[in-house]
Amino acid sequence: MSARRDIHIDAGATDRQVITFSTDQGAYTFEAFIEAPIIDGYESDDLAYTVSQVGAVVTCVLSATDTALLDPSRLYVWKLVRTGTDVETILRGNVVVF
Amino acid sequence: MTETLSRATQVEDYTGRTLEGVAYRYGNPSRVTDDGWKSSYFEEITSGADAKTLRERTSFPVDVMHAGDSIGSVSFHHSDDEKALLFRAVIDKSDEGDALLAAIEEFKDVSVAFDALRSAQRVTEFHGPITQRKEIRLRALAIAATGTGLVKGAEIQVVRSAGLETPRLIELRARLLRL
Repeated sequence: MSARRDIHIDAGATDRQVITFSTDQGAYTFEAFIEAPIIDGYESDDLAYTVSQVGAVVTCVLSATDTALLDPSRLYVWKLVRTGTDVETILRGNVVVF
Repeated sequence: MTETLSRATQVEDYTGRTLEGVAYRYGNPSRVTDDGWKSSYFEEITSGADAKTLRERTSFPVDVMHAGDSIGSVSFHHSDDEKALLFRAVIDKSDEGDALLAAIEEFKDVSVAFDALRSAQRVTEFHGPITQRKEIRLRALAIAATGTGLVKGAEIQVVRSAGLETPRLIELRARLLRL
């Protein structure tokens, strides 16, 4: 089973998106949220989440049309909550430039 | 040009109480100190430096801020591109383990304790002298408060746990944050 959802989040906005997907083991509520930096001159499509599910592997990607939109000092977070439980998986990280 | 930040995980692996992330990247010079910043130097771990220790041992202790008291066990494996050593730590069902998971928002960085068995030095125009670790013996993984880790990109990327918030844990969490 696989699914792919593109969730667009406006630059400069605090937004939360909730979707549900299923695997053989049950349903999961997925919550992505971001406190995006406010940068003048960017459009709403300049920053976007993409959520991909292949079997039980979920991949979350935050993409921006410009590196200036991804703030290295900010911790970006995605949260996966198993429906009907308090068990959660948090994916998180900074953009690190090597 | 599009820039991305990507994270992936197995959502059905609910043994719980696990932390996953990057222990270090090979050939990635980082400024480190052995004496509380009285002095510092650049250090990098070369690819293959940990091969022997990873063959000899599959499980290592986890502690907080190199305090030495184990709160779980960790296994290591290479990233698909073999440019980094990844970790998967299972945190004990103990007061200290619960406290760490309850406070995990404050702990993003990790630090690997190791013995340097064989080293060399190279010099770059940007960094100056860099101590290259050619062979190391891994000893433990330390969970570190956000901003205290010395190695760029060494971090917890996945946290899997159940909600933890009791008066006892709040007290333990406060104690942990004072380490």
